[in-house]
Amino acid sequence: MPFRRALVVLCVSMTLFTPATLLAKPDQPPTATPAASQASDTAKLKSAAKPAKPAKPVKPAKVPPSVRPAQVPELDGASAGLALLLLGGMVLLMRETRQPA
Amino acid sequence: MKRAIFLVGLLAAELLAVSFAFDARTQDAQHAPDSWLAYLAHAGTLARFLSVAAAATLLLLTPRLRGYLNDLNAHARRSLVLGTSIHLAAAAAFFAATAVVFSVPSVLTAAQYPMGVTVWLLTGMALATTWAHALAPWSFWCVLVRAEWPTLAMGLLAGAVASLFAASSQSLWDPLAYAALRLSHATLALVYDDVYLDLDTLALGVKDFVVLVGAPCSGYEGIGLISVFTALYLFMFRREFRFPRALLLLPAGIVVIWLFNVLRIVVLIMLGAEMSPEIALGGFHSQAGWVSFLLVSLGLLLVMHRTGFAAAAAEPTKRIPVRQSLPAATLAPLLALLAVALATGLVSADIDLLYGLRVLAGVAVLALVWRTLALPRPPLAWPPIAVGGGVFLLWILMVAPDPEAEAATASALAALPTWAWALWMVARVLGAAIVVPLVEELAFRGYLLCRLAGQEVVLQGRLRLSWWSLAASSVLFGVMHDAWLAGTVAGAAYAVTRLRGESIWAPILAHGTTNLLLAAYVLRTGHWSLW
Repeated sequence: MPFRRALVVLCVSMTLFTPATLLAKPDQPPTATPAASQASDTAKLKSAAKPAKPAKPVKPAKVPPSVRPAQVPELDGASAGLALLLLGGMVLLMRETRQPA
Repeated sequence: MKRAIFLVGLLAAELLAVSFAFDARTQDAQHAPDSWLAYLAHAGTLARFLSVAAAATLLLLTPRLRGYLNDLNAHARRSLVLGTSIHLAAAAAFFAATAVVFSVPSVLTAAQYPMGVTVWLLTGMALATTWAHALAPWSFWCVLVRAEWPTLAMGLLAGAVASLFAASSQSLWDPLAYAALRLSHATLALVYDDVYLDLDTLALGVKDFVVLVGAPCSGYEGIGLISVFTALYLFMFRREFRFPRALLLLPAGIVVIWLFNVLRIVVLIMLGAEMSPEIALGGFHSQAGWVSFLLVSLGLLLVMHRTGFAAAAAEPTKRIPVRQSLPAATLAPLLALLAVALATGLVSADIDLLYGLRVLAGVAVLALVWRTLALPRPPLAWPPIAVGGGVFLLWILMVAPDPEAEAATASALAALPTWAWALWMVARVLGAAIVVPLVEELAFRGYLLCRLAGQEVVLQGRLRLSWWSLAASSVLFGVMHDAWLAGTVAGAAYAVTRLRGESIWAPILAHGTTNLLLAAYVLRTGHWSLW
């Protein structure tokens, strides 16, 4: 029965999602790669992004000390219920409006 | 069957209780790294391995599962009370032993640990064996193991492979975050001359708006989510797809959702720098990841079903318009409302100023499907109104106000011009008291309550009681609310109202009463967080 299958997809997705990702998320930001290679990478990035400018040493702009960077995780748990219900509902709606020809 | 459901639920509850009460990872700091006791920190890994192995075994047993369930039913006369009592005693002993061995700070001396861990292992084995014996006699398990040992071995192997994969995949958080940072930076550099990039702190921004692109921003969560969704969908509806080409949708989905995450970071930074940091870090940050996941998931579904790439040609299907299908008509208004709520949430800070749009979307789709719903005239009955009043009282007792959120809402409302304040308030009250009860009751008590009970969707007449559908539809209703427990209780009350009433109007009336009283309470007291 399409409904039950779709419901199982939704429920198992929700269940597996927790151990697969949320619980595995590191608490701390990752350690950066060695400074020398980073600086080199960044310089390459900057020069690649602006090919029209003459080649000169490009330093990445530094964050002003007055600015406090904010964390912006990819998924906010507060909206999880709403989003997963919407997806589950869309799947159900799609299955309910399909019929063997 | 009921015995099996009860015992599986009991075991799941016990394991969840233990995992919530104790954190095995704390043992890392309790013992020297070279001590054998350091392995205690991996107890959670063992639990995950066993869970995956059990799930894989059940999946492999699917074709013969019904036969084994019938065998279980043949043993149903055995005393469930006695078996469960012995098991609960073993569970209590395991809980106590876990509390001693995993206590922080440690209550055991180094000399006492061998004995403590031995007792913990023995009580764990007692928990498992008493549970198995409560479910079925040893003869059943002996027959099962003799007949299914290759399946059990495959299940254990699947558990081991999944655990190893999960452990190794942990190392991808940092490279993915670094790649997302670099690609976001490169994209922003196409637009801005001065892009802040601090690779020591992983900070990225333009003008005076800077964010940290660390592991939580890596896009890994979206990858996990889309992988699970796509894999399960392909598995569950495997007869509708052409393999192996349909499997290409898995990596395609992973790549697309990761690129969507980079786009999310870029748009978030531009929004914060050019328009409003509050919106960027508020509604946009909260919703953008989920909107990406929904767009990619729905895009994959379209590719799966609407193109010839993955769909099997064996079973042609035709589409029924939503207006001609009662089940679809009960779902569509809520989906329109939720979709608009997610979309308007993207440009919201403390309150959703575009709340009226979700009300309009709900009303528009309701108007579209109204004839299909063929609802009778709404009756004025006192029992549903009493239930609604009771749920209102429960709600204000169970949900604790959030002073910080309420202050932010009050301040955002105070900043509005009078006409906008009045318009928002009218939309909020009308939406809460009329539109939301209609669309939510049609979906949860009209559609879900029937479908979960294995019945056709009907909006009039009595429904057959199904405890499973009552519980599941109520929990799903609770999930939609921030206060999920109060939402689940409310959902159960409305479900009972539907089961005892003659039509869907009974829970709509109860729900509308709750929301109207709540609106009056919120406007009177200023507890906006209860809304």
